[in-house]
Amino acid sequence: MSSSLIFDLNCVTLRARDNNLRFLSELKIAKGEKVAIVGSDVEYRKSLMRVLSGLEAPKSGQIQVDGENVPCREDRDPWRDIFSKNFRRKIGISLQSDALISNVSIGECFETLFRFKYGDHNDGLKQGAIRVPREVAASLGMPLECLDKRPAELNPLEKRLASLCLAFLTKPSILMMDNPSYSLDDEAWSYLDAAIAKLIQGTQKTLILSTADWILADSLCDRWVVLEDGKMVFDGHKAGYRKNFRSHFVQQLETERWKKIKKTIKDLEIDVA
Amino acid sequence: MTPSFLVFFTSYLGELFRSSREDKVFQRRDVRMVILRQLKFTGAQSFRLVGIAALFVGIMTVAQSTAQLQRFGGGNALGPLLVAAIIRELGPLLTTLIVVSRSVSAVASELSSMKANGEIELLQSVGVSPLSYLVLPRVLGGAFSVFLLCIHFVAVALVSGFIFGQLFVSMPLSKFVLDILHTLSPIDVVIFTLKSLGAGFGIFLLATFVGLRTSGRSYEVPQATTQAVVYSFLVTFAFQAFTSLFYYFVILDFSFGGIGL
Repeated sequence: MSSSLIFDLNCVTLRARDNNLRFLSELKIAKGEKVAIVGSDVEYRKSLMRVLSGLEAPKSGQIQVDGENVPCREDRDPWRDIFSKNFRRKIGISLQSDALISNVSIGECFETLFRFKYGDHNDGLKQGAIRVPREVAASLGMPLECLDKRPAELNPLEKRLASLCLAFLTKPSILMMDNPSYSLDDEAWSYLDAAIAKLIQGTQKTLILSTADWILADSLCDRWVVLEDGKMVFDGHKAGYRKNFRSHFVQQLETERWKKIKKTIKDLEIDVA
Repeated sequence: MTPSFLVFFTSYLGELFRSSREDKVFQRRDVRMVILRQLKFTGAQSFRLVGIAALFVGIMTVAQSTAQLQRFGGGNALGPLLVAAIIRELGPLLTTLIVVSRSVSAVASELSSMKANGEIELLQSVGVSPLSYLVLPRVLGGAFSVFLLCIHFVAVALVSGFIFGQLFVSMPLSKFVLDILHTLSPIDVVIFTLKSLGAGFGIFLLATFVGLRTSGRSYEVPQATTQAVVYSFLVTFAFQAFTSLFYYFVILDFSFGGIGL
Protein backbone atom coordinates (compact mmCIF):
# COMPACT_ATOMS: atom_id res chain seq x y z
CA MET A 1 0.00 0.00 0.00
CA SER A 2 2.69 2.44 1.04
CA SER A 3 4.56 2.11 -2.26
CA SER A 4 1.46 3.21 -4.16
CA LEU A 5 1.02 6.30 -2.01
CA ILE A 6 1.44 9.61 -3.77
CA PHE A 7 0.69 11.92 -0.86
CA ASP A 8 1.25 11.02 2.77
CA LEU A 9 0.58 13.88 5.18
CA ASN A 10 1.04 13.45 8.92
CA CYS A 11 0.40 16.00 11.69
CA VAL A 12 0.49 18.89 9.26
CA THR A 13 -0.26 22.44 10.31
CA LEU A 14 -1.44 24.72 7.54
CA ARG A 15 -1.58 28.48 7.60
CA ALA A 16 -4.71 29.55 5.79
CA ARG A 17 -5.16 32.93 4.12
CA ASP A 18 -7.40 34.06 6.97
CA ASN A 19 -4.21 33.67 9.09
CA ASN A 20 -5.74 30.92 11.22
CA LEU A 21 -3.99 27.61 11.54
CA ARG A 22 -5.58 24.32 10.53
CA PHE A 23 -4.34 20.99 11.82
CA LEU A 24 -4.51 17.89 9.68
CA SER A 25 -3.67 14.67 11.51
CA GLU A 26 -3.44 12.35 8.52
CA LEU A 27 -4.19 12.23 4.82
CA LYS A 28 -3.03 9.54 2.45
CA ILE A 29 -3.76 9.53 -1.25
CA ALA A 30 -2.84 6.53 -3.36
CA LYS A 31 -2.20 6.27 -7.09
CA GLY A 32 -5.34 6.15 -9.20
CA GLU A 33 -7.66 7.46 -6.47
CA LYS A 34 -10.31 10.03 -7.28
CA VAL A 35 -10.51 12.25 -4.22
CA ALA A 36 -12.80 15.20 -3.66
CA ILE A 37 -11.92 17.73 -0.97
CA VAL A 38 -15.27 19.24 -0.06
CA GLY A 39 -16.92 21.02 2.82
CA SER A 40 -17.80 24.45 4.04
CA ASP A 41 -14.34 25.47 5.30
CA VAL A 42 -13.16 27.22 2.15
CA GLU A 43 -9.85 28.46 3.60
CA TYR A 44 -8.95 24.98 4.81
CA ARG A 45 -9.71 23.51 1.40
CA LYS A 46 -7.71 26.17 -0.36
CA SER A 47 -4.65 25.92 1.86
CA LEU A 48 -4.67 22.11 1.71
CA MET A 49 -4.93 22.27 -2.09
CA ARG A 50 -2.05 24.77 -2.26
CA VAL A 51 0.13 22.45 -0.19
CA LEU A 52 -0.82 19.39 -2.26
CA SER A 53 0.00 21.26 -5.46
CA GLY A 54 3.36 22.43 -4.08
CA LEU A 55 2.54 26.13 -4.27
CA GLU A 56 2.98 26.59 -0.56
CA ALA A 57 4.93 24.87 2.21
CA PRO A 58 3.00 23.95 5.35
CA LYS A 59 3.96 25.48 8.66
CA SER A 60 4.95 22.18 10.20
CA GLY A 61 4.44 18.45 9.92
CA GLN A 62 5.57 15.58 7.75
CA ILE A 63 4.79 15.34 4.08
CA GLN A 64 5.92 12.63 1.72
CA VAL A 65 5.29 13.09 -1.94
CA ASP A 66 5.87 10.07 -4.12
CA GLY A 67 8.04 8.62 -1.35
CA GLU A 68 10.18 11.75 -0.92
CA ASN A 69 10.06 14.15 2.01
CA VAL A 70 9.25 17.73 1.19
CA PRO A 71 10.33 20.67 3.36
CA CYS A 72 7.80 21.94 5.86
CA ARG A 73 9.32 25.19 7.04
CA GLU A 74 7.20 28.28 6.70
CA ASP A 75 10.26 30.50 6.38
CA ARG A 76 11.76 28.44 3.57
CA ASP A 77 12.87 30.10 0.40
CA PRO A 78 9.59 31.21 -1.17
CA TRP A 79 11.02 31.24 -4.69
CA ARG A 80 11.98 27.59 -4.81
CA ASP A 81 9.69 24.78 -5.92
CA ILE A 82 9.13 22.41 -3.01
CA PHE A 83 8.54 19.51 -5.38
CA SER A 84 11.27 17.86 -7.37
CA LYS A 85 11.28 18.52 -11.11
CA ASN A 86 10.55 14.87 -11.70
CA PHE A 87 7.41 14.93 -9.57
CA ARG A 88 6.30 18.29 -10.95
CA ARG A 89 6.19 16.75 -14.41
CA LYS A 90 3.69 14.17 -13.21
CA ILE A 91 1.11 16.65 -12.01
CA GLY A 92 -1.30 18.89 -13.87
CA ILE A 93 -2.99 21.70 -11.99
CA SER A 94 -6.05 23.70 -12.92
CA LEU A 95 -6.33 26.77 -10.71
CA GLN A 96 -9.63 28.36 -9.80
CA SER A 97 -8.44 31.78 -10.92
CA ASP A 98 -8.26 30.47 -14.53
CA ALA A 99 -5.01 32.37 -14.73
CA LEU A 100 -3.36 32.36 -18.12
CA ILE A 101 -0.57 34.62 -19.31
CA SER A 102 -2.61 37.69 -20.14
CA ASN A 103 -0.49 39.42 -22.76
CA VAL A 104 -0.25 36.51 -25.22
CA SER A 105 -2.80 34.30 -26.95
CA ILE A 106 -3.85 31.00 -25.37
CA GLY A 107 -1.95 29.05 -28.04
CA GLU A 108 1.24 31.06 -27.47
CA CYS A 109 0.86 30.63 -23.72
CA PHE A 110 0.58 26.83 -24.11
CA GLU A 111 3.49 26.67 -26.54
CA THR A 112 5.72 28.81 -24.34
CA LEU A 113 5.00 26.79 -21.21
CA PHE A 114 5.44 23.52 -23.08
CA ARG A 115 8.79 24.66 -24.50
CA PHE A 116 9.92 25.96 -21.15
CA LYS A 117 9.03 22.73 -19.44
CA TYR A 118 10.57 20.35 -21.95
CA GLY A 119 13.05 22.57 -23.81
CA ASP A 120 13.21 23.24 -27.53
CA HIS A 121 16.56 21.76 -28.35
CA ASN A 122 15.34 19.39 -31.07
CA ASP A 123 12.79 19.38 -33.88
CA GLY A 124 10.52 16.89 -32.11
CA LEU A 125 10.08 19.21 -29.13
CA LYS A 126 9.64 22.26 -31.35
CA GLN A 127 6.85 20.53 -33.27
CA GLY A 128 5.43 19.05 -30.08
CA ALA A 129 5.02 22.52 -28.62
CA ILE A 130 2.68 23.35 -31.50
CA ARG A 131 0.96 19.97 -31.92
CA VAL A 132 0.32 18.90 -28.31
CA PRO A 133 -1.74 21.94 -27.21
CA ARG A 134 -3.99 21.48 -30.24
CA GLU A 135 -4.48 17.79 -29.49
CA VAL A 136 -5.29 18.49 -25.85
CA ALA A 137 -7.70 21.29 -26.78
CA ALA A 138 -9.48 18.98 -29.24
CA SER A 139 -9.72 16.18 -26.69
CA LEU A 140 -11.42 18.54 -24.23
CA GLY A 141 -13.81 19.82 -26.86
CA MET A 142 -12.35 23.31 -26.78
CA PRO A 143 -12.83 25.18 -30.08
CA LEU A 144 -9.45 25.51 -31.77
CA GLU A 145 -10.06 29.16 -32.65
CA CYS A 146 -9.80 29.85 -28.90
CA LEU A 147 -6.08 29.21 -29.19
CA ASP A 148 -5.73 32.42 -31.19
CA LYS A 149 -7.57 34.50 -28.61
CA ARG A 150 -6.25 36.21 -25.51
CA PRO A 151 -7.64 35.20 -22.10
CA ALA A 152 -9.77 38.34 -21.85
CA GLU A 153 -11.57 37.40 -25.10
CA LEU A 154 -12.80 34.01 -23.85
CA ASN A 155 -16.12 33.25 -22.18
CA PRO A 156 -16.10 31.59 -18.72
CA LEU A 157 -16.44 28.05 -20.07
CA GLU A 158 -13.70 28.56 -22.66
CA LYS A 159 -11.46 29.99 -19.96
CA ARG A 160 -12.12 27.01 -17.75
CA LEU A 161 -11.41 24.62 -20.62
CA ALA A 162 -8.19 26.50 -21.40
CA SER A 163 -7.17 26.15 -17.78
CA LEU A 164 -7.93 22.43 -17.95
CA CYS A 165 -5.97 22.13 -21.20
CA LEU A 166 -3.02 23.57 -19.39
CA ALA A 167 -3.38 20.93 -16.70
CA PHE A 168 -3.52 18.17 -19.31
CA LEU A 169 -0.76 19.64 -21.46
CA THR A 170 1.98 17.41 -20.16
CA LYS A 171 -0.22 14.30 -19.94
CA PRO A 172 -0.02 14.19 -16.15
CA SER A 173 -0.72 11.10 -14.08
CA ILE A 174 -1.99 13.25 -11.20
CA LEU A 175 -4.60 15.90 -11.89
CA MET A 176 -5.51 18.59 -9.40
CA MET A 177 -8.44 20.90 -9.90
CA ASP A 178 -9.48 23.78 -7.74
CA ASN A 179 -13.19 24.53 -7.95
CA PRO A 180 -13.52 23.86 -11.70
CA SER A 181 -17.29 24.44 -11.75
CA TYR A 182 -17.05 27.82 -10.05
CA SER A 183 -19.43 30.41 -11.55
CA LEU A 184 -20.51 28.29 -14.51
CA ASP A 185 -24.12 28.13 -15.66
CA ASP A 186 -25.89 24.78 -15.83
CA GLU A 187 -25.18 24.12 -19.46
CA ALA A 188 -21.49 24.97 -19.11
CA TRP A 189 -21.40 22.88 -15.93
CA SER A 190 -22.78 19.84 -17.73
CA TYR A 191 -20.31 20.27 -20.54
CA LEU A 192 -17.37 20.58 -18.18
CA ASP A 193 -18.46 17.61 -16.08
CA ALA A 194 -18.76 15.43 -19.16
CA ALA A 195 -15.42 16.64 -20.53
CA ILE A 196 -13.53 15.89 -17.33
CA ALA A 197 -15.28 12.57 -16.82
CA LYS A 198 -14.36 11.50 -20.33
CA LEU A 199 -10.68 12.18 -19.70
CA ILE A 200 -10.53 10.81 -16.18
CA GLN A 201 -12.81 7.85 -15.82
CA GLY A 202 -11.49 4.46 -16.69
CA THR A 203 -7.91 5.69 -16.50
CA GLN A 204 -5.31 5.23 -13.82
CA LYS A 205 -4.98 8.99 -13.37
CA THR A 206 -5.20 10.28 -9.84
CA LEU A 207 -7.71 13.09 -9.40
CA ILE A 208 -7.69 15.53 -6.51
CA LEU A 209 -10.63 17.85 -6.75
CA SER A 210 -11.22 20.70 -4.34
CA THR A 211 -14.71 22.01 -4.75
CA ALA A 212 -17.71 23.59 -3.12
CA ASP A 213 -19.87 21.74 -5.63
CA TRP A 214 -21.06 18.49 -4.05
CA ILE A 215 -22.73 17.39 -7.24
CA LEU A 216 -19.50 17.58 -9.20
CA ALA A 217 -17.71 15.78 -6.38
CA ASP A 218 -20.36 13.07 -6.53
CA SER A 219 -20.05 12.83 -10.27
CA LEU A 220 -16.25 12.56 -10.50
CA CYS A 221 -14.93 11.15 -7.23
CA ASP A 222 -15.54 8.13 -5.04
CA ARG A 223 -13.60 9.27 -2.02
CA TRP A 224 -14.54 12.38 -0.12
CA VAL A 225 -12.48 14.35 2.35
CA VAL A 226 -14.87 16.71 4.11
CA LEU A 227 -13.49 19.76 5.88
CA GLU A 228 -15.77 21.79 8.12
CA ASP A 229 -15.02 24.40 10.81
CA GLY A 230 -11.27 23.75 10.79
CA LYS A 231 -11.64 19.99 11.12
CA MET A 232 -11.66 17.00 8.85
CA VAL A 233 -15.07 15.55 9.63
CA PHE A 234 -15.04 12.70 7.13
CA ASP A 235 -12.58 10.76 5.00
CA GLY A 236 -13.86 7.76 3.10
CA HIS A 237 -16.17 6.50 0.39
CA LYS A 238 -18.89 8.97 -0.50
CA ALA A 239 -21.58 6.43 0.28
CA GLY A 240 -20.51 6.49 3.91
CA TYR A 241 -20.92 10.24 4.07
CA ARG A 242 -24.29 10.15 2.39
CA LYS A 243 -25.44 7.53 4.82
CA ASN A 244 -24.24 9.17 8.00
CA PHE A 245 -24.39 12.91 7.46
CA ARG A 246 -27.33 15.16 6.75
CA SER A 247 -25.57 17.91 4.87
CA HIS A 248 -25.35 20.37 2.03
CA PHE A 249 -24.94 17.42 -0.26
CA VAL A 250 -28.40 16.03 0.36
CA GLN A 251 -29.94 19.46 0.11
CA GLN A 252 -28.25 20.13 -3.20
CA LEU A 253 -29.20 16.79 -4.67
CA GLU A 254 -32.80 17.55 -3.97
CA THR A 255 -32.75 20.88 -5.74
CA GLU A 256 -34.17 21.62 -9.12
CA ARG A 257 -30.70 22.40 -10.40
CA TRP A 258 -29.64 18.80 -10.21
CA LYS A 259 -32.71 17.67 -12.10
CA LYS A 260 -32.12 20.35 -14.69
CA ILE A 261 -28.50 19.31 -15.14
CA LYS A 262 -29.49 15.69 -15.62
CA LYS A 263 -31.99 16.77 -18.24
CA THR A 264 -29.44 18.99 -20.00
CA ILE A 265 -26.97 16.14 -20.23
CA LYS A 266 -29.63 13.91 -21.72
CA ASP A 267 -30.86 16.58 -24.13
CA LEU A 268 -27.47 17.59 -25.41
CA GLU A 269 -26.20 14.02 -25.56
CA ILE A 270 -22.84 15.54 -24.87
CA ASP A 271 -20.07 13.85 -26.67
CA VAL A 272 -16.61 15.24 -26.23
CA ALA A 273 -14.15 13.88 -28.70
CA MET B 1 14.35 48.75 3.98
CA THR B 2 14.11 46.47 6.99
CA PRO B 3 16.57 43.67 7.88
CA SER B 4 13.99 41.09 6.76
CA PHE B 5 13.77 42.87 3.40
CA LEU B 6 17.54 42.51 2.99
CA VAL B 7 17.48 38.85 4.08
CA PHE B 8 14.76 38.03 1.55
CA PHE B 9 16.52 40.06 -1.12
CA THR B 10 19.73 38.09 -0.55
CA SER B 11 17.87 34.79 -0.79
CA TYR B 12 16.18 36.12 -3.92
CA LEU B 13 19.53 36.81 -5.57
CA GLY B 14 20.80 33.35 -4.65
CA GLU B 15 17.70 31.68 -6.03
CA LEU B 16 17.82 33.77 -9.19
CA PHE B 17 21.36 32.63 -9.82
CA ARG B 18 20.51 28.99 -9.05
CA SER B 19 17.38 28.80 -11.17
CA SER B 20 18.96 30.53 -14.15
CA ARG B 21 21.83 28.07 -14.07
CA GLU B 22 19.54 25.05 -13.66
CA ASP B 23 17.14 26.14 -16.38
CA LYS B 24 19.95 27.00 -18.81
CA VAL B 25 18.09 30.18 -19.61
CA PHE B 26 20.38 31.44 -22.33
CA GLN B 27 19.67 28.38 -24.45
CA ARG B 28 15.95 29.15 -24.45
CA ARG B 29 14.42 31.07 -27.29
CA ASP B 30 11.55 32.33 -25.13
CA VAL B 31 13.96 33.91 -22.66
CA ARG B 32 15.93 35.54 -25.45
CA MET B 33 12.67 36.95 -26.82
CA VAL B 34 11.78 38.46 -23.43
CA ILE B 35 15.27 40.02 -23.21
CA LEU B 36 14.77 41.57 -26.66
CA ARG B 37 11.32 42.87 -25.68
CA GLN B 38 12.80 44.45 -22.57
CA LEU B 39 15.59 46.02 -24.62
CA LYS B 40 12.97 47.46 -26.93
CA PHE B 41 10.79 48.77 -24.11
CA THR B 42 13.49 50.14 -21.82
CA GLY B 43 16.17 50.96 -24.38
CA ALA B 44 14.71 51.77 -27.79
CA GLN B 45 11.52 53.43 -26.58
CA SER B 46 13.44 55.67 -24.14
CA PHE B 47 16.02 56.64 -26.74
CA ARG B 48 14.39 59.94 -27.71
CA LEU B 49 13.49 60.91 -24.15
CA VAL B 50 17.05 60.34 -22.95
CA GLY B 51 18.39 62.23 -25.98
CA ILE B 52 16.25 65.29 -25.25
CA ALA B 53 17.25 65.24 -21.58
CA ALA B 54 20.92 64.93 -22.57
CA LEU B 55 20.62 67.85 -24.98
CA PHE B 56 19.49 70.17 -22.20
CA VAL B 57 21.91 68.75 -19.65
CA GLY B 58 24.79 69.38 -22.10
CA ILE B 59 23.65 73.00 -22.54
CA MET B 60 23.22 73.53 -18.80
CA THR B 61 26.61 72.04 -17.98
CA VAL B 62 28.36 74.19 -20.58
CA ALA B 63 26.53 77.36 -19.56
CA GLN B 64 27.42 76.82 -15.91
CA SER B 65 30.97 75.64 -16.53
CA THR B 66 32.03 78.38 -18.96
CA ALA B 67 30.64 81.07 -16.67
CA GLN B 68 32.68 79.72 -13.75
CA LEU B 69 35.77 78.88 -15.79
CA GLN B 70 35.97 82.34 -17.37
CA ARG B 71 35.85 83.90 -13.91
CA PHE B 72 38.93 81.91 -12.96
CA GLY B 73 40.62 82.13 -16.35
CA GLY B 74 40.23 78.46 -17.16
CA GLY B 75 38.40 78.74 -20.47
CA ASN B 76 40.44 75.93 -22.00
CA ALA B 77 39.33 73.40 -19.40
CA LEU B 78 35.87 72.94 -20.89
CA GLY B 79 36.61 69.50 -22.36
CA PRO B 80 38.01 68.00 -19.15
CA LEU B 81 35.18 69.53 -17.16
CA LEU B 82 32.58 67.94 -19.43
CA VAL B 83 34.30 64.58 -19.00
CA ALA B 84 34.24 64.95 -15.24
CA ALA B 85 30.68 66.22 -15.04
CA ILE B 86 28.92 64.28 -17.78
CA ILE B 87 30.80 61.02 -18.26
CA ARG B 88 31.68 60.38 -14.64
CA GLU B 89 28.64 61.74 -12.87
CA LEU B 90 25.62 63.14 -14.66
CA GLY B 91 25.36 60.65 -17.51
CA PRO B 92 24.92 57.49 -15.47
CA LEU B 93 22.95 59.24 -12.72
CA LEU B 94 20.37 61.03 -14.85
CA THR B 95 19.93 58.16 -17.29
CA THR B 96 19.27 55.78 -14.42
CA LEU B 97 16.75 58.19 -12.92
CA ILE B 98 14.90 58.44 -16.25
CA VAL B 99 14.81 54.64 -16.52
CA VAL B 100 13.58 54.36 -12.91
CA SER B 101 10.68 56.69 -13.64
CA ARG B 102 9.77 55.01 -16.87
CA SER B 103 10.66 51.31 -16.77
CA VAL B 104 11.20 50.31 -13.16
CA SER B 105 7.70 51.42 -12.26
CA ALA B 106 6.35 49.49 -15.26
CA VAL B 107 8.22 46.29 -14.37
CA ALA B 108 7.16 46.41 -10.71
CA SER B 109 3.51 47.01 -11.56
CA GLU B 110 3.55 44.36 -14.28
CA LEU B 111 4.93 41.68 -11.97
CA SER B 112 2.69 42.58 -9.05
CA SER B 113 -0.34 42.54 -11.39
CA MET B 114 0.73 39.13 -12.67
CA LYS B 115 0.91 37.96 -9.09
CA ALA B 116 -2.53 39.40 -8.32
CA ASN B 117 -3.97 37.69 -11.44
CA GLY B 118 -2.50 34.33 -10.46
CA GLU B 119 -0.11 34.24 -13.43
CA ILE B 120 2.92 33.68 -11.20
CA GLU B 121 1.17 30.72 -9.55
CA LEU B 122 0.31 29.41 -12.98
CA LEU B 123 3.98 29.35 -13.94
CA GLN B 124 4.92 27.70 -10.65
CA SER B 125 2.17 25.13 -11.04
CA VAL B 126 3.55 23.95 -14.38
CA GLY B 127 7.11 23.87 -13.01
CA VAL B 128 8.34 27.00 -14.77
CA SER B 129 10.44 29.19 -12.50
CA PRO B 130 9.17 32.79 -12.63
CA LEU B 131 12.72 33.85 -11.84
CA SER B 132 14.08 32.25 -15.00
CA TYR B 133 11.23 33.18 -17.28
CA LEU B 134 10.18 36.61 -15.99
CA VAL B 135 12.86 38.08 -13.76
CA LEU B 136 16.20 37.29 -15.35
CA PRO B 137 15.31 38.49 -18.87
CA ARG B 138 13.93 41.73 -17.46
CA VAL B 139 17.00 42.33 -15.32
CA LEU B 140 19.43 41.58 -18.14
CA GLY B 141 17.48 43.50 -20.77
CA GLY B 142 16.95 46.42 -18.41
CA ALA B 143 20.57 46.66 -17.23
CA PHE B 144 21.97 46.47 -20.74
CA SER B 145 19.47 49.12 -21.84
CA VAL B 146 20.66 51.44 -19.06
CA PHE B 147 24.24 50.96 -20.24
CA LEU B 148 23.37 51.75 -23.87
CA LEU B 149 21.23 54.73 -22.87
CA CYS B 150 24.10 56.10 -20.76
CA ILE B 151 26.38 56.00 -23.80
CA HIS B 152 23.66 57.73 -25.82
CA PHE B 153 23.19 60.33 -23.10
CA VAL B 154 26.90 61.11 -22.88
CA ALA B 155 27.27 61.39 -26.65
CA VAL B 156 24.32 63.77 -27.05
CA ALA B 157 25.30 65.85 -24.01
CA LEU B 158 28.90 66.26 -25.24
CA VAL B 159 27.79 67.23 -28.76
CA SER B 160 25.18 69.69 -27.51
CA GLY B 161 27.68 71.04 -24.99
CA PHE B 162 30.26 71.62 -27.69
CA ILE B 163 27.78 73.36 -30.02
CA PHE B 164 26.36 75.56 -27.27
CA GLY B 165 29.86 76.24 -25.91
CA GLN B 166 30.80 77.93 -29.18
CA LEU B 167 28.64 80.84 -28.06
CA PHE B 168 30.98 81.50 -25.13
CA VAL B 169 34.37 80.08 -26.02
CA SER B 170 35.63 79.66 -29.52
CA MET B 171 37.16 76.22 -29.62
CA PRO B 172 37.88 74.07 -32.69
CA LEU B 173 36.20 70.66 -32.72
CA SER B 174 39.53 68.88 -33.00
CA LYS B 175 40.79 70.52 -29.79
CA PHE B 176 37.54 69.71 -27.98
CA VAL B 177 37.73 66.05 -29.01
CA LEU B 178 41.44 65.80 -28.21
CA ASP B 179 40.89 67.41 -24.81
CA ILE B 180 38.21 64.90 -23.99
CA LEU B 181 40.24 61.94 -25.22
CA HIS B 182 43.26 63.20 -23.32
CA THR B 183 41.27 63.53 -20.09
CA LEU B 184 39.42 60.26 -20.51
CA SER B 185 41.41 57.45 -18.93
CA PRO B 186 40.71 53.72 -19.08
CA ILE B 187 39.62 53.89 -15.45
CA ASP B 188 36.94 56.42 -16.47
CA VAL B 189 35.57 53.87 -18.92
CA VAL B 190 35.59 51.22 -16.21
CA ILE B 191 33.85 53.51 -13.71
CA PHE B 192 31.30 54.58 -16.32
CA THR B 193 30.54 50.95 -17.18
CA LEU B 194 30.34 50.02 -13.51
CA LYS B 195 28.04 52.91 -12.69
CA SER B 196 25.66 52.34 -15.58
CA LEU B 197 25.53 48.54 -15.54
CA GLY B 198 25.64 48.31 -11.75
CA ALA B 199 22.81 50.79 -11.34
CA GLY B 200 20.87 49.03 -14.11
CA PHE B 201 21.16 45.66 -12.42
CA GLY B 202 20.35 47.15 -9.03
CA ILE B 203 17.18 48.96 -10.03
CA PHE B 204 15.74 46.09 -12.06
CA LEU B 205 16.54 43.53 -9.38
CA LEU B 206 14.74 45.74 -6.88
CA ALA B 207 11.78 46.28 -9.18
CA THR B 208 11.31 42.56 -9.82
CA PHE B 209 11.82 41.70 -6.16
CA VAL B 210 9.31 44.26 -4.92
CA GLY B 211 6.82 43.26 -7.63
CA LEU B 212 6.99 39.56 -6.77
CA ARG B 213 7.07 40.07 -3.02
CA THR B 214 3.44 41.20 -2.87
CA SER B 215 0.97 38.73 -1.43
CA GLY B 216 -1.19 38.78 -4.55
CA ARG B 217 -3.88 41.28 -3.65
CA SER B 218 -4.78 43.86 -6.27
CA TYR B 219 -4.55 46.84 -3.93
CA GLU B 220 -0.85 46.05 -3.47
CA VAL B 221 -0.05 46.81 -7.12
CA PRO B 222 0.22 50.62 -6.76
CA GLN B 223 1.97 50.17 -3.40
CA ALA B 224 4.58 47.92 -4.97
CA THR B 225 5.06 50.33 -7.85
CA THR B 226 5.68 53.29 -5.56
CA GLN B 227 7.93 51.25 -3.30
CA ALA B 228 10.02 50.04 -6.24
CA VAL B 229 10.48 53.59 -7.53
CA VAL B 230 11.39 55.02 -4.14
CA TYR B 231 13.87 52.24 -3.35
CA SER B 232 15.38 52.50 -6.81
CA PHE B 233 15.91 56.25 -6.43
CA LEU B 234 17.63 55.74 -3.09
CA VAL B 235 19.76 52.89 -4.36
CA THR B 236 20.73 54.87 -7.46
CA PHE B 237 21.87 57.91 -5.47
CA ALA B 238 23.72 55.78 -2.93
CA PHE B 239 25.39 53.62 -5.56
CA GLN B 240 26.52 56.59 -7.65
CA ALA B 241 27.82 58.41 -4.58
CA PHE B 242 29.79 55.45 -3.28
CA THR B 243 31.22 54.67 -6.71
CA SER B 244 32.37 58.30 -7.03
CA LEU B 245 33.92 58.19 -3.57
CA PHE B 246 35.64 54.94 -4.46
CA TYR B 247 36.94 56.50 -7.66
CA TYR B 248 38.26 59.73 -6.15
CA PHE B 249 39.55 58.46 -2.83
CA VAL B 250 40.70 54.94 -3.54
CA ILE B 251 41.67 54.85 -7.20
CA LEU B 252 43.00 58.42 -7.31
CA ASP B 253 45.00 57.87 -4.14
CA PHE B 254 42.96 59.70 -1.50
CA SER B 255 43.56 63.17 -2.83
CA PHE B 256 41.98 65.66 -5.17
CA GLY B 257 45.36 66.26 -6.80
CA GLY B 258 44.76 63.71 -9.51
CA ILE B 259 41.17 64.40 -10.43
CA GLY B 260 42.25 65.36 -13.87
CA LEU B 261 40.75 68.81 -14.15
